[in-house]
Amino acid sequence: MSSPHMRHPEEEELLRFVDGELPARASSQVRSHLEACWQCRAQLEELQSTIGQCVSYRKNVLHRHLQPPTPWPDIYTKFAEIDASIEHPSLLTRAARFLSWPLQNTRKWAPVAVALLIVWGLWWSRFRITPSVQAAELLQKAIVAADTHPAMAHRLDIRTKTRHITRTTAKVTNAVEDSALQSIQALFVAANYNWDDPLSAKSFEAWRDHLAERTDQVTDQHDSYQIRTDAGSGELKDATLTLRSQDLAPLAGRFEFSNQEWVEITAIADETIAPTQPIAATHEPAPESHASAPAVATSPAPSFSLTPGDELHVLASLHNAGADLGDPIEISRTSSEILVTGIGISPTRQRDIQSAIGAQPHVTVHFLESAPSSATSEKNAKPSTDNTASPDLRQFQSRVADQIGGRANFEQLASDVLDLSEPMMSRVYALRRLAERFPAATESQLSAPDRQLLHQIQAEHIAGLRQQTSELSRLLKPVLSSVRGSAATSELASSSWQPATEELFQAARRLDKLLAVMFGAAPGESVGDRLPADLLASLTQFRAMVEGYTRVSSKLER
Amino acid sequence: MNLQDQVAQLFEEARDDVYRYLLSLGLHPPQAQEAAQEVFLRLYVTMKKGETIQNPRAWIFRVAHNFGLKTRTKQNTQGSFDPNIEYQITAPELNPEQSLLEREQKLRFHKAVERLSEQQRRCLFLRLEGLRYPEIGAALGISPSAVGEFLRRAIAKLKKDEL
Repeated sequence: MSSPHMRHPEEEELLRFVDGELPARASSQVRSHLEACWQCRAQLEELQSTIGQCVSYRKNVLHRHLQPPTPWPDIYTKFAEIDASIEHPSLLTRAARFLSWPLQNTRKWAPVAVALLIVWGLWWSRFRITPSVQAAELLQKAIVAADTHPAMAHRLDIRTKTRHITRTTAKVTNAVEDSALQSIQALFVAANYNWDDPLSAKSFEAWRDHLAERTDQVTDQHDSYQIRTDAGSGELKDATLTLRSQDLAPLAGRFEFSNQEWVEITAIADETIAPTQPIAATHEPAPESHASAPAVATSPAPSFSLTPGDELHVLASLHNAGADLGDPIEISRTSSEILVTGIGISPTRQRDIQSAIGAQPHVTVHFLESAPSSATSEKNAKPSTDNTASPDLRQFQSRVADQIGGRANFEQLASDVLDLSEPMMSRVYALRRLAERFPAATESQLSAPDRQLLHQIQAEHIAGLRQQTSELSRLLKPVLSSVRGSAATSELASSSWQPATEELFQAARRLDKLLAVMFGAAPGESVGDRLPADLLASLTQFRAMVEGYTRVSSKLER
Repeated sequence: MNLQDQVAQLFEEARDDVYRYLLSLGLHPPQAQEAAQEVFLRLYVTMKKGETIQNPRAWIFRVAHNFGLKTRTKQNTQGSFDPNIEYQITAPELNPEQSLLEREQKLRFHKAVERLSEQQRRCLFLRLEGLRYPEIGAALGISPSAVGEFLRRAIAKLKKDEL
């Protein structure tokens, strides 16, 4: 295989290698290097020994508590309770029937009825089906209301644990950076909550809509409704929005973050101001307040906001430079800046990327060195166990080698296949990034030309993928031609491209893993007779999925 | 296999791991047990709604993690559970065959684990439960590459302290 004498892998690379998190090609390189380099093998050994310590830590420390305080309950009973509670109306009627049982039976039946009511009540409060519907409805109405009465530029009163400031919501074109609100902004951005318009039903609903799980609570306070959504997870764990009953205008919001910070935002009533003069007044915190709270200094409010479209343009530039394939680059967007971060990228490549992005406004590019690896301590160097393929796999590989005319051919094939699988995975990762950064809701905010741009980038990746997979099939043909496998092709389950991308991604990962096992770049569980059939099935399925995916995405282009 | 059997089997297989993970988050044993059970019931409810879960184990730990943290904030008055302290007390009779030196070494390692940052520890514990980087990332709301970096730092720190 090519270049066994590569540089010594970084420690993180070694860790990723043993954890099977490296792409097949890189993994194969590290493997060849390890075969050649004692020093790195010793380092790997050390790493494994630390991992071993962690495992015994897990075993020892919690050993005493492995037996929970009470025996585990019969989970089927709980399932039955859930099933009963989901069909709550019938249960309610039953409970009512129990309660209206003849008086002489009260002593006998009342406890049962009460117990049933309690069970029902518990599950009711746990799942809150109605509040969730109520909340969704209310928010939807509030969004419509807000759309029909476009908001005037109004002022917001923002309080945190320690600060009290005022900002305007007006989006005026004033490029002054707002360092004052940045720490608060960072909290909202991290939580995926639209900071440009924090006090609106739309932003609240957008955030709420993306939660994996949530509990809603709606309280009617005669002149206002309060919607409280408990996210249960994520940066923003709990948010409350108060809407005026009369016109569903947002009055206040309270946001509780996972780091114990909270932010309260209140609209300052009917006080419209000239949008060109954003005001931000700061009151010094009380002396006893914590220094760790977000520091807010006097500064004008953010006055423009970057959209998903802006992010797409940056991504398109990177795409044109091929920098969305395999380069470790991350893009993130706040309301005031698009941040492009590259890690461990060579200086030449850095210049390419820099010039591809050019002088787009509000884009910050920065490059980080990859994490420095700690020097191998020679004193601990000890002979290492062999880290090469298992005898089973070796045997299997030589069988394949015989089939295609010798070891040299096999090595060549392995190298070609792994050379191909890496860019293939890069394509899939690039598609996945598109799906993640532009979910349906975000995509719908894009302008028509931007949507077209998005689909053009997507189409280019798909074209690349199709070509790579057919090339892969061609390469593998001599190995797989004799395999009899039930090539069960499965269609994509999703009809929109974002979830379809995830399916495609999972299929690609399976294929990549099998290729890596087959060609000795990664240890695998399924070795031997099943492997070729698995690989054939996986490849056929992946090709079918790529075709299906092409259809899903071209449907959208029109 | 019907849905109940499916979830029951997962419960059987993974409940101890979830329970142990919740202890490592600082939940006291009774709460940890209750929370662990709750996680599987949520899985049941979610699957009953017809959602497909690609990787149930990853899902279980993601929910356990979030639910665990929420429960922990609620038990604030009690202070968080520290399995390490328990270990130090019980270690001698737990491993009578171990030499003093070995035990010393183990205690030193445990101290080192305590000194890891919260995020490093979480990545490490989730990795110990067999989750892959993208799965850990999904549970903690960070990118897989950040998971790699946290793990590297954790391992590097532990290695240094272990010497």
